[in-house]
Amino acid sequence: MIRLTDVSKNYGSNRKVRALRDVDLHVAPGERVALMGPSGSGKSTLLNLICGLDEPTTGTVTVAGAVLSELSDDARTRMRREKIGMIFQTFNLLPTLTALENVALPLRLQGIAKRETERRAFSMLERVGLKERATHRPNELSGGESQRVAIARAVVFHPRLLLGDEPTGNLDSAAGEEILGLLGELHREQHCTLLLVSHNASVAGYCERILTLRDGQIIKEERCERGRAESR
Amino acid sequence: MMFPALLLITLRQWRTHKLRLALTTLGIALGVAVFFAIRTGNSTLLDSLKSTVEKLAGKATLQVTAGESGLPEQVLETVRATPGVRIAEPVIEVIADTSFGDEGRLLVLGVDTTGDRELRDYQFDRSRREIADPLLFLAQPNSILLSRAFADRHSLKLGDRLSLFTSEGRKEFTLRGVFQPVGIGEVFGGNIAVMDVYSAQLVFNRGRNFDRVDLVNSADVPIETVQQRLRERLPGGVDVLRPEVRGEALENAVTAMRVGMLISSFVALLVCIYIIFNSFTIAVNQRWKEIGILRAVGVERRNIRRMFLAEALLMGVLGSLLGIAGGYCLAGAAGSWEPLLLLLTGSCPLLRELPSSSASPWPRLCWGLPLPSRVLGFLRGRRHSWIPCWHCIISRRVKRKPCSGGAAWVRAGSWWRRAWP
Repeated sequence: MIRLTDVSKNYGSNRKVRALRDVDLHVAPGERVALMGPSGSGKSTLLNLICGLDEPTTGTVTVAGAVLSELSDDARTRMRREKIGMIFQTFNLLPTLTALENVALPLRLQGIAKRETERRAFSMLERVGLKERATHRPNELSGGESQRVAIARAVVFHPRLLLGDEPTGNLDSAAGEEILGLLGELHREQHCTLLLVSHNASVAGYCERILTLRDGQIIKEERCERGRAESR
Repeated sequence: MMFPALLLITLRQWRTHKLRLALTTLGIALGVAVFFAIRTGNSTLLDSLKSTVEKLAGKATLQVTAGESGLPEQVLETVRATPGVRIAEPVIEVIADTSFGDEGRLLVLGVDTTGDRELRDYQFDRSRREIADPLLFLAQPNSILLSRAFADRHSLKLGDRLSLFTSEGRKEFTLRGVFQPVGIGEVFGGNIAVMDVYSAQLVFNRGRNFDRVDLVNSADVPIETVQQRLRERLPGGVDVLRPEVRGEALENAVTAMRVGMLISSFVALLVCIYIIFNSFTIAVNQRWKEIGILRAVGVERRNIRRMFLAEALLMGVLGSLLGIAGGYCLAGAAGSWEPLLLLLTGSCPLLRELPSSSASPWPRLCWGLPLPSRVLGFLRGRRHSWIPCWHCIISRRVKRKPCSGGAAWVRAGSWWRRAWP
């Protein structure tokens, strides 16, 4: 599902800041992978490259069989719209839309009729336990509720790849556990590939494989039995 | 395909930021209103000038003038004796202030009332027997005829006294007749008086001179031939011109004012463009994160641009419609500019009429005015659709790296954004 080959990413005017160094990574379809590491280790950069929001300085990124650097910006955007669901630490819901409208947005962007998008969005909100909050705006929701809406938005169109950038970073531990449990359930239901980026060790317990990133390089890779059991 | 979703986002933005929407639309409306009013005012001025010159000239095909000094009476004889001239009538023109404070100025036309009626259209009010005694009118040098409109406005009746103030000082006149508001009576909204040309010579100290001789050529002799013959016979310094050429000269006289007004209208439009640009800068900067989210969930750059373009178009159309309506009202109020125009141009008419529909700039304005907002919306949308969206969706980077580029406009926009409630 995801293959990174010798991927490096440099920042700055002289490209002196090396965020990623010769990273090789392979994630199989349906796999649950956690990307761990301290702040500044390059986790978010890696995620941005995988979802096509950024381009690598060297190396190739292949997602769902497509080499991203060979795609136009529009094609990468279309891939995000149709195949990749994204969850962010700060939720990134549109503040002027209700929870239902936020969840329905990816479907509406795909050109699905309004009534159908609302039906599916409402069903997804029901699935994440926020049926009663459908007409509420993001500023009327708690952090945990906002993240559940964000998850509903990310999975409502059944993406093949689900990316989470610190999905529990802004939540307390109870809400975080709840969100991780929900992500696990949705992963089982939709059989998507899940890649979670976090520096929180509890996230690792929900994944089959844990990659540790430091100074832009993957320094450790380990299997997690609990995560493997969870995924089954 | 995704347009309805983006339209929903736009409408929700407008609902959330009503004040900003109202101020932007008002800014567009104000700019458009001033632009429209001035353009309409200019059209009004030119139309009125042309119309006035035509009515004053009557059927005259040529006019003989000699500037401020006037023409000696002998010139009239020479003109009348020129082959091809069918009618030639002398004219004296004086602009006078009235004792009616709110009325402004009155054009006094000294003509030979017996012969001039072949040249100009006078309709005396016979039904109400208000051309009292032609003999008395000619015998008394202070006799004057007024238009029905003017006489009615000031409840003047035959025999009433009327004071006029000219460069020769105060002059007293007696009303001897009233003419209908048709033909020459329509000129300057009725602010016109007629008196005998020889009495006018006396009252206004013209000596034995006239200001102008209006003439009509014989049907079988071309105007150019008559013009050429007159130029050969008349002394130097005397012009023989077609009335429309005099109209053009009057137009030229007000060119500076028209250009000034046109520049003012463009300044108003520039202010309008500044308001639109600033408003869109604020809007786009406020929606920085929203753009990033939309890009992340799969909205292409071109669709972000289209969204801002559509917003600009809607605001432009709305503001322009309001502006055109406001401008039309402003142009209607331009009737109050009449005294100013008369003061500025000396011989320029008092304008009372709105422009004819043929001169209306409506069609061009209706299509053209939303254009600035569309262009600015496109530029703003284009610029911001190219911002890497991870800058927007990761909040800590937004704080560290706000709108890059450093353009003064954006800085101004940022300042406004901070000042915004």
